[in-house]
Amino acid sequence: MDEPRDRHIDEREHRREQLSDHQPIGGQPNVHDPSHPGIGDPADPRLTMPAGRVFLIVLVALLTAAIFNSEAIVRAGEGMKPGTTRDVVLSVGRPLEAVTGFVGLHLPRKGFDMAFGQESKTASGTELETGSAAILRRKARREAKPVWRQPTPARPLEVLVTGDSEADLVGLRMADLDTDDLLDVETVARNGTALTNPGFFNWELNAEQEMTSRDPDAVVMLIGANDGFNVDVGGELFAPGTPEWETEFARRVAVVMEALTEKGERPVYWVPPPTARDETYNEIYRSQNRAVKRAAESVDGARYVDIFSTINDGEYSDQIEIDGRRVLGRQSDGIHFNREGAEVPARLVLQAMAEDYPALADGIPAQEQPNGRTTLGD
Amino acid sequence: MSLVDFAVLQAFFPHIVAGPIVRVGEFVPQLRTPRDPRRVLAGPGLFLIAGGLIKKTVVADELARRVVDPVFADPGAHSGLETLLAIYGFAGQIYCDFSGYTDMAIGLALLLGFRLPQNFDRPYLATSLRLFWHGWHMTLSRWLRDYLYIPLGGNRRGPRRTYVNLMLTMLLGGLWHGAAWTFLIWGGIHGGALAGERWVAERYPRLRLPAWAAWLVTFNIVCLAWVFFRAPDLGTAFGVLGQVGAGGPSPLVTPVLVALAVGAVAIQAVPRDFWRRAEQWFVARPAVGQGVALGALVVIADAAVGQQGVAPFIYFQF
Repeated sequence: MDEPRDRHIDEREHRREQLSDHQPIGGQPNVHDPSHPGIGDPADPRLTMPAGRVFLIVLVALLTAAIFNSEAIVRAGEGMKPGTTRDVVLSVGRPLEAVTGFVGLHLPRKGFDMAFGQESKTASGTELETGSAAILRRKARREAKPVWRQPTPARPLEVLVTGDSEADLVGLRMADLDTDDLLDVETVARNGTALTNPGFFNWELNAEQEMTSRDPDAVVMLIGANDGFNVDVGGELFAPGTPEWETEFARRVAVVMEALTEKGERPVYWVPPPTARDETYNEIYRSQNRAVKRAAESVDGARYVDIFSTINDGEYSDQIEIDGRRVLGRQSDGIHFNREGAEVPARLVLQAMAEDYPALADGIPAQEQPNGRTTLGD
Repeated sequence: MSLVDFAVLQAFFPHIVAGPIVRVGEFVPQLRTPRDPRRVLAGPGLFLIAGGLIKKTVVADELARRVVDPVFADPGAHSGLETLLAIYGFAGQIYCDFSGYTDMAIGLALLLGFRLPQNFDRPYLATSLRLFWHGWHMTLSRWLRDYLYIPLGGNRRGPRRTYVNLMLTMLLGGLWHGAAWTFLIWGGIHGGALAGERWVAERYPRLRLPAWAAWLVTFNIVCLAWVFFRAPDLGTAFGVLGQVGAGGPSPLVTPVLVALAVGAVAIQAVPRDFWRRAEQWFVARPAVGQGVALGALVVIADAAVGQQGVAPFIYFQF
């Protein structure tokens, strides 16, 4: 007899606990309680309006934002990969920008940018846009032994991993691989940026700003996947694949390398894109790899890290070999590494860094190549 | 409940990623009655969306980028003042980040004609930990209460067991965020403080702290716990706490950041009636004016975001 009664009391108490306002943990939010802030009383006509009117308000809001933000729309459009979305965004954005710029409607946005301390990432008259290819004729000094401060767990190396979207996962995996705590990795990916599109994002300017504000010990730069644009050399346009494009690209790389190394003050590990599934991209990336190798030979502290020919012998494959296992290493776009696959370029970067920082060599697993070579010492 | 009802509840996009945790009984009945398109709760809906957007982009991300992230990345390199601003700044950041997200979710749902449960109710004004949990992530705390605390026995098995239950609930609540010592300590601080509070109230029933003192103690315990919640590891957490007394120059402490950190707490003290009247006033304006005002807010939010992009919502990782 006792048992059911006890249970009955228990259940009542349980219910009271659930409903009481004085419980130790948490309240009982009530969706129908008009006193809750923000929810409002549906019967209060002063808070409601017809759906059509709400639709109109949202439409006006988007239009207003587009008019005052037309510059940002064009900038965003220019950063997109060539395709229908980019065409639509730019075909709306550019005429809008021309009109609003003429009337001065872009000025409020500029004011807000200043108020929030946003640095402009575009400029005119930088060396990146126009400059002499003489920079490529210099010869970088070659040190017999490492000249930079060596990392210890007490004072790890501050490494800035930057570039385009490829930087994100590679930076993450570099931090994962650093089991000896010798690195302090900071990753700043500037998605959609490229060297051939300084009107959208000027890497020379950004490099100067970042080096002043962050002052890292070393920089890893992964960029190039978005670099399919024509370049303007002395008023003449050259398409990717031409020798003129490659030389101009090498010149731009050298300019940004100099801004990042600050005249050899820190090493910069420049990583052009790996192989891509699409052969058109592959051609451009191959040309970039040659250009970066050439640029690195003329800038003090600059290092070329090859992840094009060292992974899978330069043949594209969705799968990559890591420690004898074949894993799906690429994303569906046929360019980016996925999280697992990004370990391979991360190892290759760390191996390149180990030549300047021997202490790093101990902790890094060597990246085996299909033909039995390892990249260390190749 | 039909399979379609269940699917709609699961797939209802405004709440899908990071709460509020909606119960079947709160949502499914709303599917049964047609939504009235002539009476959309647009006053609260649009206010919540606009407010959430500003909380996230202007307050939370600015605090994170300019003081919280730098200090937690390298505690030893910062002065005591900067460290304090980072600690209180993170309290403001996580409130504006998370409540900003749920505000936008609730606002979007309102525009679609659905009501989701409120998830935050002025938590930083609480004068006890118990009241804090009445106002912080309310749908999670009621979940913890109904599915952990009460099944463990709640307060029905004597005072000692009640303390243990409080502690266990909060420790598990901490572990729910991730398997790390930092989250366990976060839960431990909350569990310990909840139990301690209850013990004091039972032992000294006539003891009454002045409201301001109770608020000060509560708020600082919450902020202390947040240090462990934010830090990537225990070393960093203790590094941050150890740095509070340090001297040195404090370039990160700017009037704007102090105002943002204070504002994130102070805005919770604005009476509800004020917002209700503001919403009524807004609803009565002409549609074009309403649209232009909201559009201007979007421009401000976009300027605050800049070219580095929006930081992901903190609770997306949990």
